[in-house]
Amino acid sequence: MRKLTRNTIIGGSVAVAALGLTALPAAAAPTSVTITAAGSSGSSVAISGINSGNVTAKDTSTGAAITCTKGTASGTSKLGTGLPLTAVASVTSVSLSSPANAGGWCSGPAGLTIQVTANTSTPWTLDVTGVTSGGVTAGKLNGVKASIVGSDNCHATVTANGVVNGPGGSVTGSYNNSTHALTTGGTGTTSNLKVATVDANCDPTLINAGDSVSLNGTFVITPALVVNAT
Amino acid sequence: MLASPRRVVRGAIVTTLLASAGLLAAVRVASADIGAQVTYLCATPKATYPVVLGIKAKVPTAGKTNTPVRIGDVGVTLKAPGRLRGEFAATEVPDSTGAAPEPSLSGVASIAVTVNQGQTSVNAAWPAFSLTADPARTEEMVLRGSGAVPALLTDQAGQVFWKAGQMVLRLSAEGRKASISTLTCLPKSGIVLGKLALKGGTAPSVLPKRSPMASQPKDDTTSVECHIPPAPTEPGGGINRDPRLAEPPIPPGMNLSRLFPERPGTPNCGKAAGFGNLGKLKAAIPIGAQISFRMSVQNQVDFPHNYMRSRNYGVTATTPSTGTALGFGFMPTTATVLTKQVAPPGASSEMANLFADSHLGNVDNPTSFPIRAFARSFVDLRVGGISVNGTPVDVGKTCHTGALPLDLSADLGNDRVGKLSPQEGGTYTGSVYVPAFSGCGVGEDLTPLVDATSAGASNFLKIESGRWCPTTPESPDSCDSPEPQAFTVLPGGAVKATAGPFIMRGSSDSYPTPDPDHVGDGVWDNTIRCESATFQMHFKRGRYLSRYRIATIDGANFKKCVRFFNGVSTNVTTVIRGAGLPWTLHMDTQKGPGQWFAMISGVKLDVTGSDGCSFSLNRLSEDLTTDVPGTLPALEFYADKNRLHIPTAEKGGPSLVVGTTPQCALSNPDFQSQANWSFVAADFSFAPYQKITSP
Repeated sequence: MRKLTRNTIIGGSVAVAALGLTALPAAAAPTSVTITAAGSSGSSVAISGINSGNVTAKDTSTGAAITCTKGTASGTSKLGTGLPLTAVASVTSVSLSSPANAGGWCSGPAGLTIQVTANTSTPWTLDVTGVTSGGVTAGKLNGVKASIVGSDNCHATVTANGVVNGPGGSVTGSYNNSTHALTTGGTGTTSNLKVATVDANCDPTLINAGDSVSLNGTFVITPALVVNAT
Repeated sequence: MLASPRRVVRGAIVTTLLASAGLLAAVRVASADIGAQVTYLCATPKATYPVVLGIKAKVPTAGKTNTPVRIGDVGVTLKAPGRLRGEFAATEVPDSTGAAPEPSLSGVASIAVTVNQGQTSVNAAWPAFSLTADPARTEEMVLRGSGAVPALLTDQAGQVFWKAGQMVLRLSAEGRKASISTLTCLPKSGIVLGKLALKGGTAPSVLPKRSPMASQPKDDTTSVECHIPPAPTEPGGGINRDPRLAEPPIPPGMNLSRLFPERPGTPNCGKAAGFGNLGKLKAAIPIGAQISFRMSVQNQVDFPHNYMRSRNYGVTATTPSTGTALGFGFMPTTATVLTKQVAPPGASSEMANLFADSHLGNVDNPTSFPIRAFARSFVDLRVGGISVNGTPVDVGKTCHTGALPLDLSADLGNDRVGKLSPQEGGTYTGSVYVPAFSGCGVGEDLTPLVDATSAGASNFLKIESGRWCPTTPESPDSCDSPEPQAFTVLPGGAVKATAGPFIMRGSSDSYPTPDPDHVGDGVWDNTIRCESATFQMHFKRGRYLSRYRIATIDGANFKKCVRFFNGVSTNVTTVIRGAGLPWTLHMDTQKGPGQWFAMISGVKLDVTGSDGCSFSLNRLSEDLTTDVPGTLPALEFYADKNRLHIPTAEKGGPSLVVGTTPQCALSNPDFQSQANWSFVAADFSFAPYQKITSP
C-alpha cells in the first residue's frame, strides 16, 4: 500500500497549496499577533475549513502518495490584539475522504484506497512563527497524528519523528489573509512527521517505518480571519 | 430449415469463442425488501431483446440467526419489446381476414438467484415461475407470474443479500401449432434484489474464503459470485510464473526499486461486460466476466519517474454464456459455452496475471509512460447446448479447446487524457486464438469440422470493466462491485457546447490591505467575465460506449472577455484561449436519474490581458516546477437537461492554478504562480441535442 499518511489536515493541495508559500515571510521573529474575524467579537471564534484542491500525503522515502479530494476541519481561533504566538488556534476534528471511491476512502498508488483517520484526541494547535508580510503569515501546525488503513489491509501510524505511540508532529505552512487559506506543505516547508508503525500487510515498496511524510493541503477558513503578526 | 450437425457445430463454436470471457451478471445494491428491476439482454436464435425483470416480495426488515426468515410470495413481472411476439408469429394461421392473430404467450422463467453473506454465496434455490402474458397488445409485452420461494436460514449474523444472475425464459405460443422458444438472458444492468440484516449468533468470518476453485463444486456452472483467489502462500496461489504469461517489458528508462517477495495484496471483485466480434460470422455476441484478483501482490517503483509496476493475479468465474449468431451467414446458431481458466499446457498454476503500469505519487505529477494494464491467462472453452433454429445438436460433453492463451490489454490513459487504475474500470481489448478443438460429436467425430472452422481464427474481444471493489476485512462494507457503466449517445458526432456568461474568479478578496468589513464578503478581487464560452466537441456515437473518453473537446473559444476588480470592470479586455487541445470528457459515477458526474482532462487556458498581464491556468506538479494539464473533476452532466455544469468552488467545483511562468506586473496574488482560479458561471448546453442514456 502506499503509504501515506499524509494527511494532514491541513495540507493542501498540491497545486493550490501554495498560495503564498513562495512568498513565505523571512524569518523575522514576531512578538505578538492580532487576529480578527469578520462579524465576530469576543476572545475566540469557532472556525471551520474546507479544502481547496486535493489534500495529499506523501512518503518522501518511497514516493507513494495518498490523495484525498475532500477535506474538512473544525476548531477554534483566538481573537484579539497582542496575543501570544503559540496555540493561536486549535483543530479539534479533521476529515479526509474521496467521495467517488468506495466508502469514501482516499486514493493511493495503483488503485489502492486508503482510509485516513486524523487523531485529534489531543487537539492540534497552530503557532505563529513569522511576521505577517503581504498578508501572509508563516505558521506551524503541531500535534499532527494520523493512522491509515489501506484496501490491502495495511495499517500504519504517523507521529512526530516516527516515535511509536509518540506525540503528534509538526508541519509548517502559512495563512493568507486575502484568500483566508491555511496551507501546509509545499516548497520550503518542513515536517517532522514520520511513519511510526506498519504492519505485515504493508507493502515495503510503498511504506516503511521511519519513512518521512510530507503533507500538502489548503483549507479555506470560515469565518475569514485576518491575522497580523508583528 | 434445419441445419446439419456439422453446420451447427461450426457456427456455434465460433460463437463460443466470443463468449469466452464468460458471462456474468452484474448486480447493484438496492433496498431493504426484495424489490428491484433488472435489465436483461435476452437472445433467441433470431435476435437479441432487452427484457426488464421486476421482482417484488415481502421480507422482514430484520431477522435472527438460526431462525428461518420466511419470504412472502415473490411476484415477477417481465417487460419485453412487443416485437418479441414476432418470434412466434410464423406458426400462426391467418384468420378469415387474412391477418395472422397475435399468439397468446405463456411460459416459465428460471432465475439464478444467490444468497450472499460476507464472502459466502449459495444458490437460493428459487423455483421457476409460471408466466402469463397480459392480453393487451401494445408495443410492450408484459408477462406476469408469482410463486413461493424457500425460507432463509443461517447461523451467521450480518447483512444478507439476494442477487440475480442468469435468467432462462421458455416461452410458448398457445393454441394452434405450438411454438416454444428459449431465451437465455444475462443481466445487463442489474441490482441486488434485496437485503436483510441478521442479528445474533456468530459474526461472519472476515477471513478470505478458500480458493474459488476449491470452494465450488467442480460442475457448478451457475455461481456468479466473487471468490477470493488463494494467497501466494496457499496452494494454487501466487503470480503465475509460466513464461507464456510473462509480464510486458518495463517502459524504457525506468530504474526499478528492490523486488520484495509476493504479498497477499488486496483482493478485489469486479464485473465486466462487452462484446465479442465473431469475425467469420460477422456478428457480435454479448459477453461478461466476473473478476476476482489480488492486486498489488508485488510492486516495484521508480520514484523519480513517478512510475509503478504492479503485479497481480486472479481468476474469472466459470460461468456459462450463450451467444447467438448467423452461422454461415444465414443460420441462426446458438451455443452455450463454459469458459474455465486453466493452467498453461504442461504447467500447474491456473492463475491469470494482471500487470499494470501506473503513477506512483500525486496524480498531478507528470508521467512519461502510458498507463496500461495487461491481463494474461489460459482458458479452456467447453461447448454445449448447441442449437440451430431451435434444433439441438449433440456435440457431447467433451467438446473443448484445451488451454488457449487469452491476452487482453487496456489503455488506461496518460497525463493529457486522464489516468485510470485497473480498479476504476477500463476497456480491455484483445483476441482469442483457437488452435484446435477436441472431443466434439456423439457417434460422429465433429472435431475436424470444428477445427476447420475455427483453427487460427482470431476473434476480437472488447470488454468494459466496471469499478472493482476491495474485499479486505476493513474495506467499506457497502462495497458491491457495480456493473460496468456503458452509455448510449445519439446522435453523437460534432457538438457545440455553449455557456453564457462564462466567469472565473481568483481566490483573493482583500488584497493588499485586509479590511475586516469586507473580508469574506464574497466580492473577489479578480474575475474574468466572458460573454460566452464555446467548446467544439465530438461525442462518440452508438451504444455500449465506455464512460471513459466519451467525447473530445477539440476547440475552446471565449468571446468578449473582460477582467474585473472588486466587481468593477477594469476595461482590460482579456483573451482566453484553450491550449493543449483536444481535451477529453469522461463520464463518472451516477449522480441521479439521467445525471452523472463527469470529468474533463487535459485542460489548459492561456489568458492574456490588454494590460500585458498574461498567465496560464492548468495544474502544477507536486514540486511546483512543471505545468501539467489540468483535470476538472466533479463536473455535473445533466443528460436530461442536455447540459454540462461546472460547479463553483463553494459547491465543491474544481479549480485551476496559475502556471509556473506568469507574465504579469500586478502584485495581486491572483496573478502569481500557483494562484487558484475557480469557476463562477460555466453552464454548457449542447447543440444539437444529445440523447445520452445508460446503459
